[in-house]
Amino acid sequence: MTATDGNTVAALLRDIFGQEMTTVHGTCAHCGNRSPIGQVMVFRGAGTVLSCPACQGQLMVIVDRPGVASVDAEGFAKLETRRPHPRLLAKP
Amino acid sequence: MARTALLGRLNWLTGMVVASVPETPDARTIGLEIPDWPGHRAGQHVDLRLTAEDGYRAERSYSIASAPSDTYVELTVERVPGGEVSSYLVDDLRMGDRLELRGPVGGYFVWDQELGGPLLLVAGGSGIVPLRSMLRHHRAIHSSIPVRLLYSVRDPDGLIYAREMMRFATSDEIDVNLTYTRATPPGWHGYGRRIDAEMVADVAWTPADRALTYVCGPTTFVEAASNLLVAAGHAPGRIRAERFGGTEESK
Repeated sequence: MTATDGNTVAALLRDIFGQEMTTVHGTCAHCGNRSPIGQVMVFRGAGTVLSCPACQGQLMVIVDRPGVASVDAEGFAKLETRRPHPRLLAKP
Repeated sequence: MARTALLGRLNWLTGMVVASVPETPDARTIGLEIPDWPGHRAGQHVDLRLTAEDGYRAERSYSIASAPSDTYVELTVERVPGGEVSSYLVDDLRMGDRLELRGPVGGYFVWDQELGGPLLLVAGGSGIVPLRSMLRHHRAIHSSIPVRLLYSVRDPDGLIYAREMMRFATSDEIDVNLTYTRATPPGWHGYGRRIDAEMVADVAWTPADRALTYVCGPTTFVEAASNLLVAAGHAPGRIRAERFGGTEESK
């Protein structure tokens, strides 16, 4: 299976987390690499697996079924999100 | 908690097909009129959903090809061999048909004037689609930020937006570079090979220019292009990539 990247699961992540996630920076618990979610490796099968672009370690597994989305985020040591800038909110 | 999540949820919208333009033997641009469309940023995409009579559903991501200021939202879809969604969109969709979609989504692979430049845009095949949105936006806002484009296609039949690329090339700010990896047009004197270090040295800015770079295409192409740029001394943090996989269907 060929990997895509975090950009391609922007809608799924937005749906589950309620905010834009591709610009959120995640730190890998395995190797310490820090990367925007938009640039992590993504494998989609029965579930969605996010892997570290540096060490290929598993960051997050999402199983999305009708009625319940299950998220295992053990591979993230840290997630950092920028607070929205007021100027961005002013856009239509 | 549940309420917070609901507020951020993406709603499904319905778009009506108001334009349908064949771009190449395998790609078509679909213009959509979408009531309640919230507007988008150049480089974003939508998730599109098709539902069969028996309830079977298939969902795919497609990059937005139009500029934020364009009248309609345009998607350019390339037929993937055996792709159930892309075949339908390229071959069977008719004017007036309605499509379910949600978005726009993606905040990382986007370009606005505030992000600055100079810009290097690198596309493999239909990876040109979100970059076309950026180029159109760049022209629409009369940006003076210099842009260099490197667009790699297999053969002349694979060149999406051929005429528009020629128009972009007439602009002082945009430098268009094409390479054909399998077959070149008759009389072609430009690049006729896969992207390599020499091509990157010719086309890209110097690392000292601190260019903002967007690379989009099949995963193998994006990896090759990104690795060449990093090897040439470009800062990885200034390279934004969007990979749409390989043989499996997407975009």
